[in-house]
Amino acid sequence: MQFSLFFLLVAAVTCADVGTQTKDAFVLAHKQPLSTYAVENMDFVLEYGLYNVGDKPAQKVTIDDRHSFPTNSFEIVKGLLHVHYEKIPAGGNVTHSVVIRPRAFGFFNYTAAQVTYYTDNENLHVTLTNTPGEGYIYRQREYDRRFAPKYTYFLIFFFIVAPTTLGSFLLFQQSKARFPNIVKKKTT
Amino acid sequence: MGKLTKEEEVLLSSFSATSSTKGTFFFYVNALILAVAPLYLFYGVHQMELSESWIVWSVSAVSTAYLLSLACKNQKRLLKHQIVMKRGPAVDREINGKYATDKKMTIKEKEERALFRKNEVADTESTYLSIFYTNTLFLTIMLVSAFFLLANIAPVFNLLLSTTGSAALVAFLSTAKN
Repeated sequence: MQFSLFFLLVAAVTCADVGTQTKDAFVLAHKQPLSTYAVENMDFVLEYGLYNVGDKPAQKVTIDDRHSFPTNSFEIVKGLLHVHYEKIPAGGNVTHSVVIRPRAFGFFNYTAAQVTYYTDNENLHVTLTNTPGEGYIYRQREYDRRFAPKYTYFLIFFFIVAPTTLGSFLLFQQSKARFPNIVKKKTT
Repeated sequence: MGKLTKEEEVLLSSFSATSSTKGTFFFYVNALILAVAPLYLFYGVHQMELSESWIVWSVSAVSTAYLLSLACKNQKRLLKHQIVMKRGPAVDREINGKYATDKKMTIKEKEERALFRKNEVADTESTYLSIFYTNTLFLTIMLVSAFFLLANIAPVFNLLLSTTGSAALVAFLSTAKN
């Protein structure tokens, strides 16, 4: 009984060790937009991050995101959608940013980027980043109207409304001033 | 009933609650301006588009304009009476001063003229004051409801509630019997 318990304990520890420790290179990847709003014809910044959480360096790492941003809907302003790193050391991380510019407005589905790397120069690993999901690309005019200051609208509104409102008040005051004066003279 | 003479008609009209054509025209123009101006704010601030919401806009504009002109007319009727009472002595004095040298004029004729003049003064003053009063009340209620109370609800409901709703409230308040 005691022996079997000890055996189970040893087995559990070994398994846990296997589960938590990766002997090979192991790359985690993420993709996220840094810009809060996507607007047509305005820059949109994306960031990719690679983390090698394994114990060995990852070789010939590539990020390929060309399929996510077709050139008929997006213009690439700065950066590459297909990058290559020779080596990411164990425990190291790499971030990569791309600036793109949407050509049209509407809903757009941001899909995952593909990351490939080799462990020990022969085992090819293919992995995907997370998916930012569906986002809305604003119309330029909509964006301007939404985020530009609104006080000019209120000012113009005041000028539309003022002539009748203040004008009638002034005319009333004028007429009032003409008559009570006589009353005052009469009473004094 | 015999036919009324021209003088009697003038006398009757001077005491009636209905306002002059010029005053009524002014009311309608003012109501139309006040009904359309908030739409501009909703276009600019609440991002409503003309192509998408012209039906709601026209409903709001027509109902608001109608209610506001109604409110102005009611308010005028209330104010006119008060103003006649207030301006009465001053107008009497003005007429007396004007015709003091005219010895041909009888006292009755002078009184009639004073009455006519009182009505005229009260009519214009009450027109102006009712427009000012109705406008300020409407604008205050409308702005507070559109940009504070109902700021976070859908623009379509916000528009209808804040413009037509405020105009209805103003019209309701103007029906007070003193």
